[in-house]
Amino acid sequence: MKKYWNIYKVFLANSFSVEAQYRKHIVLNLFTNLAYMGLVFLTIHILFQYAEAIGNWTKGEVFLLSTIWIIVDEICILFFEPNIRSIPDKVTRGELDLYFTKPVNSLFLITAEKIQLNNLYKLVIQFGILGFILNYFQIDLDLISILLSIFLIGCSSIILYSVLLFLNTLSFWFYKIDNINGAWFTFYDFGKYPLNILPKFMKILFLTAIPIAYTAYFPTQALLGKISPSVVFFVFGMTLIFFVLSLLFWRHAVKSYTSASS
Amino acid sequence: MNKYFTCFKAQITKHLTYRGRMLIWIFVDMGQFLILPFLWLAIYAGRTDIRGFTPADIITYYILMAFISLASASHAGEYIERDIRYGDLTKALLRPINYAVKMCTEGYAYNFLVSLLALPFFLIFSVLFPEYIILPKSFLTVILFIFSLGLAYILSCLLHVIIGLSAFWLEQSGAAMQMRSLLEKVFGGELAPLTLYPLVLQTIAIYLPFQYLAFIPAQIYLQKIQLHEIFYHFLIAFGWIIFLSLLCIFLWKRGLRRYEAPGA
Repeated sequence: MKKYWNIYKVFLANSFSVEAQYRKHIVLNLFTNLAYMGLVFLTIHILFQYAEAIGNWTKGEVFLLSTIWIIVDEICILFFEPNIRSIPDKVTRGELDLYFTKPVNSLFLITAEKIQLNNLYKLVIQFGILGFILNYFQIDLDLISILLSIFLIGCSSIILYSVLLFLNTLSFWFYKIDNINGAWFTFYDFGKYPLNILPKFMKILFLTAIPIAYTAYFPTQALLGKISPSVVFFVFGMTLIFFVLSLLFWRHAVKSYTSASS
Repeated sequence: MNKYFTCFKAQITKHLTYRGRMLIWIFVDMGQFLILPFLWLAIYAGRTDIRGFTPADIITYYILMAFISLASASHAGEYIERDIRYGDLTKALLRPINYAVKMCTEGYAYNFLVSLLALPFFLIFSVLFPEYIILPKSFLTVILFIFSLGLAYILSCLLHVIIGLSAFWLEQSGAAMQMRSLLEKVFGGELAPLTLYPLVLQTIAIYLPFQYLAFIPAQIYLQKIQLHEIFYHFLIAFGWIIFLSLLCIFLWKRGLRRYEAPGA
């Protein structure tokens, strides 16, 4: 375990050096991120001009849901998302050899290699906005709800890791599928809206084959104290299933890997 | 003209080679508009009209947004940016062909193919859910809609070329591209019909070119604007095309002076 922590510290140091080189880019990125959040909030504002609630969710609750979705997304980008999305490129260029020949878990090396430290600035701002929303809409929280929500955010991050790993592992067999991430993120975006308004078949789809409901919907419900213990156990169970299946799929794919470089 | 048509045909062949990839892109472009109709239906909750839009209007509006994004949204900016950054522009400069026109003609091959492929999906949808789909009421509406799509593509190309050319000056133009995309979404009416926006945003949208990318073509299709208003909008769109073309020429000439052909 200590070995992995030491490796991670090296990754952190490298990522810091990279970020330090592109300071102008950080400012532009921050600005764009704020504009993106503005876009999300504007959409909600337009919708709530014509209704008091959407599917039993008030305006403040939908703002909270969207902000939590943005925060979860940011956490995933910070730690692993771009690394997993780079797998198809690594496969087609034969760069995976480098990782498989190291005496360390290759999946750890591949998915933890780069840490997007500039996302830390964004996270600070997003937590600030979260605080503002809680205060502005007078949403009261208790400690258990907060802890439960943090636990479910952990689960949602693991589910996102698993789904992305599964999709990008397909590149071991299919070439030119980099846009499969685009297809996933098209649906993933829906997670920032109350999904209980959708027809039943879409709800089932978003809980199983395209698991976007876990990203923010359940963590927000937990934060608002609107979740039952059975749902928490269900989310935890689904997290384990997604994670184990994606690891098994990865192992299977690695066995069929043929280097493209040599 | 012939040389551009050759570029167009070559791109069609290329896209047809990667059919699976293209189908995923169609799915991505259309999928982004899937959730908003459901949100609006939850808002209508029995109401028949919101500021002149019936539930059928709003569903058709988002289906139109999906179709318009396939048929007339350019993607040239990122290719231009990449050519400048990696020095591939040098090759293009040696050829007897206008680089920007070539990029936009090649790009249109994708729009042409995907809109043809997506058309059956829309027709099936209109047969399955006739209560939610409004079909064009006259042949003139179809002609005016197609013409507005043409103008939308030219405007979209010009905006893309401007952002792509910013790579002459910027280290990374990714943020600039994202800003363009955000502005298009907000002021192009992709989030919702502009008439449902707060008044201040509607006023700003009038003075920007983005409404001609999607909102105005959709309004023409839905027959929400009169014929004389349509011609007025076409005139303004032409004005924007002239202004943005001049800006492109200016940026191109200035940019080439700075171009260092990296990698050459």
